[in-house]
Amino acid sequence: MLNVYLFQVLNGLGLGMIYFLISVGLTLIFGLLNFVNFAHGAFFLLGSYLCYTLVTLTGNFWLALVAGPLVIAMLAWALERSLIQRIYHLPHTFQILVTLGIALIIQELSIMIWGPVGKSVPTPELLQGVVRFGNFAYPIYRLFLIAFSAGVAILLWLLLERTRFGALVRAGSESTEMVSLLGSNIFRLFSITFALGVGLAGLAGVLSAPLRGAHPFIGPEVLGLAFVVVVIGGMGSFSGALVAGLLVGVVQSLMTTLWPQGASLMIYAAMAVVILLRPYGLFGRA
Amino acid sequence: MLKLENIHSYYGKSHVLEGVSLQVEAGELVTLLGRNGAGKTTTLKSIVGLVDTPRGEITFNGHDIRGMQSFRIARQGIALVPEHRGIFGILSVEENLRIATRKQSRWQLDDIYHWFPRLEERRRNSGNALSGGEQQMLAIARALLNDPKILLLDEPTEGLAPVIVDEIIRILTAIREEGLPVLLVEQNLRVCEAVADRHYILEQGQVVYQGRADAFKADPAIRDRYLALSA
Repeated sequence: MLNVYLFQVLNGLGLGMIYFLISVGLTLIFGLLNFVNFAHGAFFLLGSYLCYTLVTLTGNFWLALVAGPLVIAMLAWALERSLIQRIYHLPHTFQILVTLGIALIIQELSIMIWGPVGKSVPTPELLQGVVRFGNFAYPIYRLFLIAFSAGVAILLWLLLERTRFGALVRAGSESTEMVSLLGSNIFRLFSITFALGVGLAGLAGVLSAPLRGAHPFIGPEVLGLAFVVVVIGGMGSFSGALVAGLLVGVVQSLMTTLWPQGASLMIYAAMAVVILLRPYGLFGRA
Repeated sequence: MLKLENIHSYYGKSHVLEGVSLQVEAGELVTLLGRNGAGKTTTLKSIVGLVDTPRGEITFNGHDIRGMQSFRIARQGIALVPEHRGIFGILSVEENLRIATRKQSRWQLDDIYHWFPRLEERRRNSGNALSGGEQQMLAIARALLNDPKILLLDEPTEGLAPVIVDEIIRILTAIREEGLPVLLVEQNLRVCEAVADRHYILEQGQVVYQGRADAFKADPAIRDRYLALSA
């Protein structure tokens, strides 16, 4: 019986890391650019489909893991330069309208290209099978997912906390005007951050594809969860996204054993409690 | 070196500067005086491109900089230390300095720590843990790292205790001795008279007086007419 819980906790950590990757991008973009990106879930979806196509064409998951997020980041870069950059100054409602439109375009294009029925993606050969600890067995791919995402999280933390670029992103979340006055090209910083944040959503999509496949209507669900994580963790907070992502993942995973019907309910109830007790989230600042 | 010729600036539709002309020459410390709302801060913001300036000429070393993006103006070597100081509270003192460093700048981090030992002591503290005086010093230090060819300071002594004001005067004097030109907006006349070569006085968006420091000092009538709190 204990093994069941251990199994679910590990599942929850994997799921939580996926949530972290999605929401840290959302929170970075919101923190620096004060921009609400409702297309974030759609880029996750695109990541899953790119993974499907690349694995189908080349049989190489590792290629998909590198190229998928890169392609999506480049797409985000182009989108930022051509469209997003022009609507930063508009109220959030307009930003939601535009990015929701982008999300729908991506979703419908995906249906045109890949069809309305989801695709499954095989687990890469190297990561098939299970690891055994005594009488406890756990899929290798899920362990890889946790370890790989943790590696990405560490690299991202180093980037944000230990480099000049990271310091500029954090500074910009306080005052973009002052960053400009120090001679840094704030517009380029915006483009890079947007591409980075969206690329992370794409990476999450690629990583989750061997587990859950690619589905054309997953976008809104992913976006909703990412917002829950960001609200619980605190807007603009890296640690908040990590802790809240893992929390939501583990709770959701345990609930599927304890009370499956209540899994989503618990998540939103947790969000409500956090909003009541700490309106700026666990790690947020006013 | 820095020259403003008949500039007009607007906040939205309100016409704030109505034809301001002034210049700062190499090595000069020039103050911009005037009552609240005269347009002093707006003049500084117009120079660095933060305020819309549709008419007039702003040149720096002969280059037209009017209408350029703020970060490009900053890269030309115009460093503004704004009134609110612009310290990044979530960054450490050292991070605040490091994001401004430029290899070609005359002043590097070591020089700055030599000038401002207090900042070195507090380098690991976050920006919002500093006192007002320390924040002002950090803001000036950061501007010096940014490869400045001219410094624009907006009320550096505002809200500071008299001993700290003396410290700021010492710093301004040192900067002047280094030959870095400064355009200083300041309400505290004691500070202005201690450090300035020349003064301009603004009133309702126009320059109404300009003169050398000694002439200004010798003529209290100017002070009474333009700067005393009016009834």
